[in-house]
Amino acid sequence: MKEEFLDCLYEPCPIPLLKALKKLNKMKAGDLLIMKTDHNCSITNVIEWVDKQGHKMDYIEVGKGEWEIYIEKVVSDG
Amino acid sequence: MTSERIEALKKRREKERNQMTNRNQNLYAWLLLAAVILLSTALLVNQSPYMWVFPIGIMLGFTLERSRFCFAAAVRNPLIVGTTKLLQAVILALMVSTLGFFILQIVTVDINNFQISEIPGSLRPVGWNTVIGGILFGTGMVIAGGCASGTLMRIGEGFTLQIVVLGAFVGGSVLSGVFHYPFWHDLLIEGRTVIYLPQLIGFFPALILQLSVLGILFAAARKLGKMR
Repeated sequence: MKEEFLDCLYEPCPIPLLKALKKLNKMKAGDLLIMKTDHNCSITNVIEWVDKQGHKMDYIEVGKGEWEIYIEKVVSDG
Repeated sequence: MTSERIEALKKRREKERNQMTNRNQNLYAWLLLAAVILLSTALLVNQSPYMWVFPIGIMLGFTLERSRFCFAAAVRNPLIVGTTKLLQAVILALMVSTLGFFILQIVTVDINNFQISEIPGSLRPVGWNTVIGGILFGTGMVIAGGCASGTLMRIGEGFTLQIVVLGAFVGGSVLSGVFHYPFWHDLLIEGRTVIYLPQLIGFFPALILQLSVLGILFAAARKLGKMR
């Protein structure tokens, strides 16, 4: 049950999505991933992709124009 | 879909966030809103041609930001990760505007006697230049992380990187628009015929044709989104 953190501040699409994709591949089922981004488009991209992969996720706006996306890996070999 | 552990994590991070300083920006928002209203009123009083364009532009920008709509992501995501929700949204928007322009044109254009330049909308000759221009624009858009509207919207939202993009955007537009455009216009556009579907097959068949093509693309995008 590890908790990983990804800092994606100042990174434009699709970098946050690709970073999440790489990180999730290395994680085990049940691990949590916290992503921080200030690119609102990334949320749509990441959320849609994560949902399609079957992982659990949600996000909140932590500051003005800054969001955190939380992902729980469900399947072991995504 | 969320889960119990994510909800717990959300609560924990929320608590941690409250300990961080979260500056209130409401004052700036009100000042900006006041400036927008002032400028709109000034345009209205002066009967400026921008009196409709400006408020509509502001509202479009607001919608764009709230909906997280992004043309760059719409065409890029299907290729890199196979998600197509935004692409479906763009195709749907094209269908809506097809209908809108159909109504606009059918009431203003006399099909037997018209000038291309008088038709509402922007009608230009198509050719290989369109394809090459599209590829160039698309490549730049994906590298820069946004098209025109997306770049402007994200600057407003505080995404600083895109200020650099805006600089290049303005520079490039001035350079090509003012200095290079006459050259390309003479080379590729001047003297070429404009294809205007309603003139060839009539208004209603043109509408049905365009909507069906978009409908097929929409169905294909939907199918692609459900795969994998």
